[in-house]
Amino acid sequence: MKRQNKLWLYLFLAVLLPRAMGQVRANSLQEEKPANVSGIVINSLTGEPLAHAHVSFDTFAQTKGSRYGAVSNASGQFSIAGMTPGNYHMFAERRGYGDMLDVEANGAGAALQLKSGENVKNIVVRLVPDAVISGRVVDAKGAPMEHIDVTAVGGVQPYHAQTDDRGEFRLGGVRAGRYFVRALTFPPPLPPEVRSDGTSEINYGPTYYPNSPDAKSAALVQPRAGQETSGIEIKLVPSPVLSVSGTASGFSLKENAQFTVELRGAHMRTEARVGADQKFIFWRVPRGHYQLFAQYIDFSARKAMRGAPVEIDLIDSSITGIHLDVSASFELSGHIRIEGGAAWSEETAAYDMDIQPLGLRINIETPSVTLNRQDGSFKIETLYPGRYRLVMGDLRKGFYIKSVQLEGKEFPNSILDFHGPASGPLTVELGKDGAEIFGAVQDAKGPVAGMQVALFFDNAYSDLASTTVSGAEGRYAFYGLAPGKYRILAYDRKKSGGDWSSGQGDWLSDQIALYESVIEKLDVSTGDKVSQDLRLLP
Amino acid sequence: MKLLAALLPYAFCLCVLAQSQDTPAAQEHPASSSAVQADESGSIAGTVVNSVTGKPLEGVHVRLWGFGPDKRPFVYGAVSNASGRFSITGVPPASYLVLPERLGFVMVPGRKKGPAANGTLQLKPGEMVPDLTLEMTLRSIISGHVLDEYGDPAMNIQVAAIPLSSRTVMAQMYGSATTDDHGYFRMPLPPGNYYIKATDSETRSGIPEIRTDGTAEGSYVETYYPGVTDKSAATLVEAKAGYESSSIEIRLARSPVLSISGEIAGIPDGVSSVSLTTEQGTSLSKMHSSGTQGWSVINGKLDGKFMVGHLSSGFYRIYAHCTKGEQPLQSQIAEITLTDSSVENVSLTLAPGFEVSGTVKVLGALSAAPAVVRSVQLQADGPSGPSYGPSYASEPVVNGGFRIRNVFAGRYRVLIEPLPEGGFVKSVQVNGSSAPAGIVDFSSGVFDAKLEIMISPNGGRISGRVESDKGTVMPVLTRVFLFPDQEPAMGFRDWKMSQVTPDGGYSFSGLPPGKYRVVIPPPFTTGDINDTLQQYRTSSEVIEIKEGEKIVKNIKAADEDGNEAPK
Repeated sequence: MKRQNKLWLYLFLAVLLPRAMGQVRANSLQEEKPANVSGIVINSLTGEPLAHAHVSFDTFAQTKGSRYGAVSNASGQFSIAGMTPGNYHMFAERRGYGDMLDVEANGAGAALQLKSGENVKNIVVRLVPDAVISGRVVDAKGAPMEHIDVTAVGGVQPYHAQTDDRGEFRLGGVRAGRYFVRALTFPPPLPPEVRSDGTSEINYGPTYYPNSPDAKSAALVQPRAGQETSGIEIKLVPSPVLSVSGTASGFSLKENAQFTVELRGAHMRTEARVGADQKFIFWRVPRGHYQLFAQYIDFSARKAMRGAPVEIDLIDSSITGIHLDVSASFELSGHIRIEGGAAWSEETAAYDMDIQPLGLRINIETPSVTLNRQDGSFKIETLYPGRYRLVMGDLRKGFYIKSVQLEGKEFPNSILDFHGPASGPLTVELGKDGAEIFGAVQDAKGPVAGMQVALFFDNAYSDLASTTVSGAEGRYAFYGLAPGKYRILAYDRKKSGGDWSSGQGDWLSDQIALYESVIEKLDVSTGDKVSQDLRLLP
Repeated sequence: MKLLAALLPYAFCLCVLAQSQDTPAAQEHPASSSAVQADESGSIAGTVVNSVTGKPLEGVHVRLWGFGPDKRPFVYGAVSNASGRFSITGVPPASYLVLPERLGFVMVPGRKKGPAANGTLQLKPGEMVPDLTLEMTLRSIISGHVLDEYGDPAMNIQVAAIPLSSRTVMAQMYGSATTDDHGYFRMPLPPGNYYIKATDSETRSGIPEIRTDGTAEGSYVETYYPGVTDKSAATLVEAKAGYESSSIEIRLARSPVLSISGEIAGIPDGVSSVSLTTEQGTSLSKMHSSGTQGWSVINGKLDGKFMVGHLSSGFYRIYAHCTKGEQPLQSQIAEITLTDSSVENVSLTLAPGFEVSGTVKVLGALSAAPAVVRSVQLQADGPSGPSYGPSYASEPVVNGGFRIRNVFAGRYRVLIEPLPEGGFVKSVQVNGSSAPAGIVDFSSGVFDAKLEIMISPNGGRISGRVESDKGTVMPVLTRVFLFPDQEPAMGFRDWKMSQVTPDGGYSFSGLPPGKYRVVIPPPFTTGDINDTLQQYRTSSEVIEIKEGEKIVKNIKAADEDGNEAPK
């Protein structure tokens, strides 16, 4: 999982760097002397040199000779000679180690500019050793349970392991942080078993360490870098066999077409076909929060129809009678107007508009926005029922989306929620007097810089409104906020195991439970300037 | 992936369940539905024994997993008592899978004839099965470590146990694990002989690194215990019932990182981005992955130079493509086999596609195709069957006439979507000359190709019943395969599958005249279809069919004997 993060960063940089890459290539055409680099890779905690670490330098030019690499020797030393001068990014990886702490080399950090003929020595790469969580999963009688999926939830990505025949699991390669550890069985999706011999079937629901059916009453596990947190024993909590069922409609069934309902949420993602009688059922769904939606695909006509997602909370009993619809994609047109009637084209030529699908991440066409900057008219294409957030980019400071209306209906927080096809026009009004929230991020010792600050709408979905990073004196600020209720939270990216974002709702509710004690709730009105200091979890 | 791994104990049932979640209205099990009369229900009782000691096994969870009409799943269960006895009453007539489960044990498929001998059971209305014997044996454990080239533990490596005999079904239920941070893996398995394979699932990309410290980039390749890449050179591990084979140490093998580089020619002015698609496999018939990368103009014009790095040895198909306005452009497809060195100077030239048009006629009809034909499709085809690559569909067929725009060089099979019931493509003519087997070869490009496609409404039909001497045939789990009787040089092509109907029947229609073979693999067979067909091919008989002929033929299902005779 951790490796995937790195890959992601890599791709991200690849997107960001095309300009730099152009320069490198232009420069390399001139007479330049090759550069050399050398250094050492060490364990960030113990300072011990690390052998067999792979160090690489990349300009992302994607051409021959734009990428260099080395492997550290027994004393942790690495070296590369004869490099083409240019702007490089440095990466280091080794089994058992995760993040690279800030790199000390001419103060250049992980981005390294190599000048003609330069000889950069003594680069110190500090790698943070991974943590380990280990333990066992047992049934209600204390007997070991085999083939149970164990997940550490808390970071940007969960870590997975499976119990072996002794019920034991070992989550290696974990980033230090705070986690819930959850055990989950994956029985085949069958109806409850019928028995006539006096015994009864025992079905287990999701269980959080040590023996809780949900994250709220679970115990935190806090592995530290380079250490193993062992003895995590999870006692599975029995649960009735739960099902989710209903009907789906809104299509005319043809041959060479497929009509399915997808269920996804905290613990699983699966699909069920809708029968000719329009019914569907999912068996043995673990308790938790889920979204369901119907999708109809006509393979001959290469057309898809999709329905609005329905949210359910499955707790102690099955849910029946859900009705789902599908409809073809639709488009909406509309216009943007500015509070007070200011002329559009005078000040807004640089404004940008985007629409982001929320919650479900489905491999289906995403909507696109075409904005006419001359008159503020726009068109949104390929919309399906569901939730979307409308965002404006490059607005003047203090400006915000004050209201989004469709046929007189207001969409709060500029979040569009379509239950079926809609027709426009969509009216977007920009306000000039957005609210501000500002303050300082503090831990027990005082203000802290470099901390992530996340602002959420206080709605049922905890949609992410905005993020920032605390600066000098721990200061942070959000501008151009629409009036409404928010939740705000500061966290240490290095200790949390990653970033939060909405739409990753699979484990968002568990994460919120982790941070419950430091989340601040705010209610802001138009033009408010709200001061709010934020505490970090100890 | 993880979910799938968690489901592995039920892997063989997955194919069924993938469909069984589909069930409409599976709310009620048949016992309570009005369709089944109370007096029709039967009962099953029996004993679970340890196949080695013969002693009864207590605490075994016995499940009967049944499938009603519409593949609706329902489950009956019981737990064996101190004398190993279990009893289930009120069971409706249906086909059932019999699944005994107890931690540390595996089921031994019956060697005798009779009910549940192959793990399935057909219960007739009102039938009482009084004394079913189910045998289980202790599992074995295979455990060990996977190490990298330095001898350091390798984490997140997929380890799989591959049974010597592909018929050891149960192995596929359990035989996989992922290494932890110590490189440790542990797999409970049914007794038998296994090859142990380690695979690094991490994929890398990007151009090759330049190194000056004497090390070399490499990528891990599939490695068999103790550290070889060739399965035939691997050491078999014997898993004995009740024992653990520990200290299995696998040293991951590496292959050098190779690249393919060259130049894309013919990039038109004004085109700001060009993409390159690379397909990877072991041969043209076994392509398994595909990736696309793109270049955009940064300053001025694209120079067209490309490099695809981090490749391992294998077979590659590589081609460039872009669009100019609405017009798609594509290069020829370069087919490259990488062994131990990189390939340079590959030249790909972008060109517009061509148009294919023609007519579809039905034999005997005077002019147009029947209204049912919606489109004519060209599907990429290799020497051994449908291949990786693009397929093209025509605009709607009107009065038998069709047109397909922007077709690029390649070999294609002509498909009619849909074919009239019972019909087959009898002949395809390209600009007046015959295209054997409906395969058109546009490898070097053809401009203004005219196709004349003739459909015969008189396809042959082979149908019958599936028979078995052991136990019963599980309709939902049993699949019948039919394929032309040819020596499969590079894999089977044109095979068809039919699921056995609830009354035990199968049928194939719309068959072109020729010789065919029909095989019925055991219900739990998984894995590569080519291997399965090859395994059962020779024991099947050849059926020859003429145009319009209807043949009724009862076929015997292949047996899973469960024995593992070393080759």
